[in-house]
Amino acid sequence: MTVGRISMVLLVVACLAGWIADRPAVRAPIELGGYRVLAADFHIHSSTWSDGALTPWGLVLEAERQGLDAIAVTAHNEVADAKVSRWFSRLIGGPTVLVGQEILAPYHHVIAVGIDRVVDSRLSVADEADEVHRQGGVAIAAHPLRSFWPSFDEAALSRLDGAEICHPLIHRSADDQRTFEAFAAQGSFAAIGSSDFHGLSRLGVCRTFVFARENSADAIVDALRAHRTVVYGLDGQAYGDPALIALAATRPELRESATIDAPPSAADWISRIAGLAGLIGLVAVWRLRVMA
Amino acid sequence: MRRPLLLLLFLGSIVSLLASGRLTVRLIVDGAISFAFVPACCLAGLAVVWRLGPRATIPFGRVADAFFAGLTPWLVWMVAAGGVFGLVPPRAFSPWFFPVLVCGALPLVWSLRTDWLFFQGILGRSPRQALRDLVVHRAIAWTGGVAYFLGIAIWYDVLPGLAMTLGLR
Repeated sequence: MTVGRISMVLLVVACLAGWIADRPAVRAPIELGGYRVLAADFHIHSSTWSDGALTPWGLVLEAERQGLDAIAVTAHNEVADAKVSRWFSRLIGGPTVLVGQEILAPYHHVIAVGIDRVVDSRLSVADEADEVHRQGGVAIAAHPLRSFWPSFDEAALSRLDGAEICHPLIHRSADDQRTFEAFAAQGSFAAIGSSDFHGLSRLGVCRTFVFARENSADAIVDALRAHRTVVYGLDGQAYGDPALIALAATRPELRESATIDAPPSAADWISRIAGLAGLIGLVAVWRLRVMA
Repeated sequence: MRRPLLLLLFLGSIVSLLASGRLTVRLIVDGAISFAFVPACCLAGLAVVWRLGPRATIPFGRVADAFFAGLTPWLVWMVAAGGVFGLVPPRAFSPWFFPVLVCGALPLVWSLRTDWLFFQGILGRSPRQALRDLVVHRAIAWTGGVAYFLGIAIWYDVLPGLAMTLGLR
């Protein structure tokens, strides 16, 4: 057998093992205090004009695998791919998809969730939030690093509904966690955890637990407006409504799913090792042909 | 044109490893669709360069296949990135991000030399013409690719971020 064929066989083995490991876990719905507790990720990007790595429909399938009940697809100043995701998810009975936008301006980023049309990014944060509210959505400060703070004046802080307090940046530096905490202390916000998924890392690596009346877009937006969220940051630190934090503590699996990387299964390892070996083999064949 | 298709398989596989830590047909296909612009932009640039000089006797399909053979440095880098991000737990990704990104400078420089030699050896250009071809190819392929991938984030995120890093704001 040639190196090329061995590589292909390894890739097939990797895909078979990956297929076994890839089945969505069946999870019973969690109800606490009369609310349905939904795992949600409100800040994710697709590959259509939004520097992500997965298509709008691919995001829906991956969200299912990562145990998410709801997602907001938030393209940069665009809502078309979110609508494609929503259509696809309804078609297959997938997670609830909210139409969103990452309102991208040079010195502030705001997540709009539950909107229908593009929000003009040339507005001030306060005006953006007003426009989001007019469309029936909620406005969330995205990864509010200190360099963004000057854009969030008093008018903006009084209008925002939420602020990201758990974001993959906190895994790089604990200082960023403190910065997000300090930002959240400046107003009254729903605590939000988002993965800002572009293809690297995992969807839902930071997530928001939403205490909603039901699993629907309207109920989720209502819950965000009422700040009924719980988020777990570095070292499992909980943020959000104190009463809901206490309720969530009765279900340790919530904190675990938000803070601990699930250990890879045997099938995962076979898929990774065989896949990498197959790809290395392909590079070797590629290189040999160059030399020839 | 086998290599452009193999490149798609490669790109899809890396996306699958990065996004889930495993290889699945679902994510390979999705990643290949998402990054189909890479070979497309590369081919577009090459097609323009191919028409710039006296027409070579080799058909474009074979020229393209040979050109893609020069992507080896990028493939090595991608496999390394796939290895790191496929094996490291997701919450431990961050410290690896910039080192892996910086290592991308190596194939960037390496491929300049590979392609310059390609334009001389396969398309029969002089060293000076090969340099022109290189500039034209990069201008078309890279500008197109970056403009498509980053989109408006270039103006609202990448450039302001760069300005801040350089202390210009």
